[in-house]
This record gives sequence, structure tokens and C-alpha cells, in this order.
Amino acid sequence: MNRRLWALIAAGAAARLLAWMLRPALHPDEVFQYLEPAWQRLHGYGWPPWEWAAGVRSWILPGYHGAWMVILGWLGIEGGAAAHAFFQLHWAAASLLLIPAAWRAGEKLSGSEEGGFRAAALCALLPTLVWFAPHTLTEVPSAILMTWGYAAAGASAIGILFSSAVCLRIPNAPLALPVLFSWRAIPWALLPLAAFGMIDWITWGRPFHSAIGFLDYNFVQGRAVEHGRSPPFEYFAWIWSRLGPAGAVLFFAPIALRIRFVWRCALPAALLVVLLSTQGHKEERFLLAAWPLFAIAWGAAVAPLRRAAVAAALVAICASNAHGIWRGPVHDYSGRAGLFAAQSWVGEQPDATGLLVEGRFHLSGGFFLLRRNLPLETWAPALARNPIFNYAALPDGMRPEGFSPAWSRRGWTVWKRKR
Amino acid sequence: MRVAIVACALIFAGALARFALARPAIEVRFPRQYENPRERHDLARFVHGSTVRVSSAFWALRHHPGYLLSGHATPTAVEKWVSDPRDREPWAEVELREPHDVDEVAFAFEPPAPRRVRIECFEGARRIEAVETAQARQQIRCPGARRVRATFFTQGQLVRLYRFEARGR
Repeated sequence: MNRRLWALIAAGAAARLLAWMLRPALHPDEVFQYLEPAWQRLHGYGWPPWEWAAGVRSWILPGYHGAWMVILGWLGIEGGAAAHAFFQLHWAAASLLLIPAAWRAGEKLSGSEEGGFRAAALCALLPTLVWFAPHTLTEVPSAILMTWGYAAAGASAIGILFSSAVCLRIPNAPLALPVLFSWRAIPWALLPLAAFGMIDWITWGRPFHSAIGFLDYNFVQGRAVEHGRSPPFEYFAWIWSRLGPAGAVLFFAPIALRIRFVWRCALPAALLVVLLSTQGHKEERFLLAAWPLFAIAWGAAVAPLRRAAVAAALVAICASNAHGIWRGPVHDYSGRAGLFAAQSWVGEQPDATGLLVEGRFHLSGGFFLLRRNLPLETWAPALARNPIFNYAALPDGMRPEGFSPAWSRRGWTVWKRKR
Repeated sequence: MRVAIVACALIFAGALARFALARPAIEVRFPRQYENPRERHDLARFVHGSTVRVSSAFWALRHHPGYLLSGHATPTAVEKWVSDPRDREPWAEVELREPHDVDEVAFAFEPPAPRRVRIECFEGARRIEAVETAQARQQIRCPGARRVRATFFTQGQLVRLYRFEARGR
């Protein structure tokens, strides 16, 4: 394979490893929608959030994680911080697949190898993509499959890739529009759809149960706003704040100027942003699949320009984007890596009989991080009176009575009950 | 290369099948913190290193089965075990660290209590004693018992149980 592509993959891997080492902020869904259900299925205990009681989630991604949990168990890794790190690194590594996909799609769009290289370079290094890579969310595999859909040539690959991407994350459907212009791809698109419906039938008792529930809850009843409502132009504000003024201009100006040549990738991505903007509930991660397509459009748009100018623009975009992520708010995410580490540490203590964690339960690492079937509950003074809770993980500064400090890291302290 | 890919695919398929077919028991094992005293006491209490198993649990509300053995006299509404709504014949079982003479079994239910409870004591697979009762506290003769199991006849209701005590020496 092309040496330049391998160099980009290596650079992308280094960037993703750095992102993982910096402990990116975590979304509650990362644990409770896609890891904890697999853990509970495998071990008999865990906390199912309401989505799993209502059946609005597919078992595809938890099933995939569950199979990996079995393999990790064979290797002696049972839940906790090690397993969590594995899944984060697994998705960070999987996101490297965006790079060859962007190369192919960029090459296809621009008609030149340079266009492919430049699209792939941005996908390898764009901090937003790097930052989202080590997250156990459906957005990551859906974005990978979607980008490969744009890179694919044959009808079968196009149909299967686009359909799989949408099955994993239904709101990404606008990005799969190209499949409608490829009639030969449609029968192939039905295959993943049928498999998805079959898995729902087996797991939930009705074909497409989770998809119907998801669409009904979010788009028919519009109940997603119960989890937060944002202004209509919030996504544009977030894109602007993440890229910064200079980065935004350098990123979108070439796309706009050469839209005639790059619309095949730029318009579906823009359509996704616009359609998601019509929804009251907004989360930054929902945009993830649009970023590789914008990057491909950018790479193709700057393909005819001089190499030095493009390299300078790429560095400026990445620096501005990194600054926007580093300095900007984390929106729906929480910096609870310290709590996760605390829970994992308590799980390793042979004398642990119960753990109290500060904050709302869905912001914790759940039973997956504790990896022991012990009472695990949100900290409350009334619960601290129960002797079964002999450990408490609290932010630095809280001092529970009757406990003494046993462990401390990243702003969190584990307290152990005095005997 | 092809052989390696096929081998990896087979391993993954095997792991997936194992995941799909998993039927884990719900079991909470507590480490021993204190030796059992000589006098009569609650042998099931978690501090003595007992284990609790249940047929199901209402995980959505985090009514953890471990609470059954806490021995806590003033629990909050959270600190109870609740069976799963789909569980037709809920049961809970305490396994003691070593065999003991159990002479009384007591439950602290949140009303409504089950209409009847079948209490059984075992030493290994051998059943020592079995009684059915409508009382929350039941005298029983179980010398050398290792396990005490309670099966709750609820007529479709959930079991809401704060404490499961097995008293004796």
C-alpha cells in the first residue's frame, strides 16, 4: 500500500493514543447504553437505563461488545478499568479506518491522488475526529461505515455499508442518500436491514422493535427534548466554536468555493447538520459522521492548490480545532475519569462489600467499572449509615463521617469505613 | 493470512455464541469480616462472609439483593431486594460460610408480604428441612445447614424484602 497512506495512519494512531491518554470527557451513554447492558447480560447484574426498559436500543453494539467481553474474560480481563481501556482503544483504532476511506473517497471526488491524500490527512489529524475516536458510542462505527460507503465503488459494497451505518445510528440516514441514486445498491441495502430486524425480533420479540421505539420516542413524540433543548442554530455555533474563526474559514471556504466539484460529500454532510438542527435536543456527538465527509470535501477542494499552502492550512485548521476543543465547554460530557478509576480500584479490594458514588448514578461507571456484584448506589448520608457500604468514592473536598481516605487520584478520593 | 482471519472469525463467533447463550446466576459473595460469635446470632449477615443468590432482581431501580444480608435496622426505601416483575416464582437463598445450626428464619417485607413462603435448609444437595409459612418469622430445625432457601408465593406480586435473617449458632 501507498507509503504516504501508512504514514497518515501512523500519525492518526499517535494522535488517537494521545487523545485516549488525555482521558477524554465521557458521555453517560458510553457506559450505560453500550457496555453495561453487555456486562449485565454476561454476568447477571448491572443497571439498565430506561432506554433498555423501553426497548429503544438495538442489541447489535452491546452484542459486539459482549463478544469481546467473553474474549477478554478468556484472557483474564473481567471488566473494570482494563476492559474499559480496551474498548476505548479498540474504537480509537477502528476509527483509523476513516483514513483509507477518506483517501479513496477524496481521490474519487477530486479525480487525483493528491485530493485523496489531503482528505485522508485531515481525517487522520482533525482534533474533533481524534477526540471522538476513543468513545464507545454508535456514532463511531456508524461514521466509519458511512465514510466507507462514500469510498466504495461496487453496488453491493455501497448498499451494505450505507445500510449498516444507518442501522447502527438511524439519525445518520440523511448521509445515506447516495444509495437512492444507485438502484443496483438498494437490494444489497436490504440485507443489513433484514439482519437488524431479525436481531430485534430475537432480542425484543418484534422485528425492528428498537428502531420503531427509537423513531417514535425521538421523532414522533419528540420526547428527546426531555433530555435538554438547545436553540435552533446551536450546531452551527458549536462548529464555529470548535474550529475557531480562522479554522472555520480555512475549512469551509474552499468547500464553498468549489462546491460544484465536492457537493457529493459536502451536501449530505450539510443536510445532516440542518436536519439535526430541526430537533430540539442537540448533542455534539450527533454530528460526528458529518465531519469525515466535510474533510473529504475539503481535501478534494484543495487538491489543485500548492502543497505548501495546503499544509499550512491543514496545520492552522488542526491547531484552531485543538484550541477550540481544549478551551471550549464539554457540553454533554462529564470529566469523570477519576470516578471510573476509583470504582475500578474499589472493585479490586477483596474486603469491599458496597460502594457509594457521588453524583447521579448514570454519570458513574456502573457495575461494569466496579466489576463486582455488590450494592452500588448514589452517595446519600442516609445510605452511608448502612454498614454494607464500606467504601465511598467522592470528589476531593467531601469528608464523610466515619470513613478514612484510602485512595486518591484525578480529583476523586475513595473513603473506607472505619472499623 | 487467510487462515489467521478465519481463526479470528471463528473465535469471535464462539465468543458471540457464548454471550448470546449466557444464563448467569445472580449471586452476591461477601468477604468475611468477622468470625461468627459463640452466642446465637444472625448467621446470614454479610459480615460473616455469606453469599446470597436470587432468582431475579429489579435492576432498573437498583434494589440490589446484597441488601438482604446487611442487617441494617433502618433501611431507606432503596435498600431492599425486589424481584423482577416477570419472575413468577421468586426465591432467595443464603449460603453460609460453613455449616451452622439454624433455628429461626426471619424476613422484613415491605407490604404486601407474600401469602406463603416455603423455607428449605440444605447441607450440600441434601434437604434437611422444609416448612411453609405465612409468618415473617419462623422457627425451624436445621442442624448443620449450609444453605437456606426461601421461595415466595406472591400471586403475581413483586417480592419486596429488606432483610433475610437465618438465626442460630
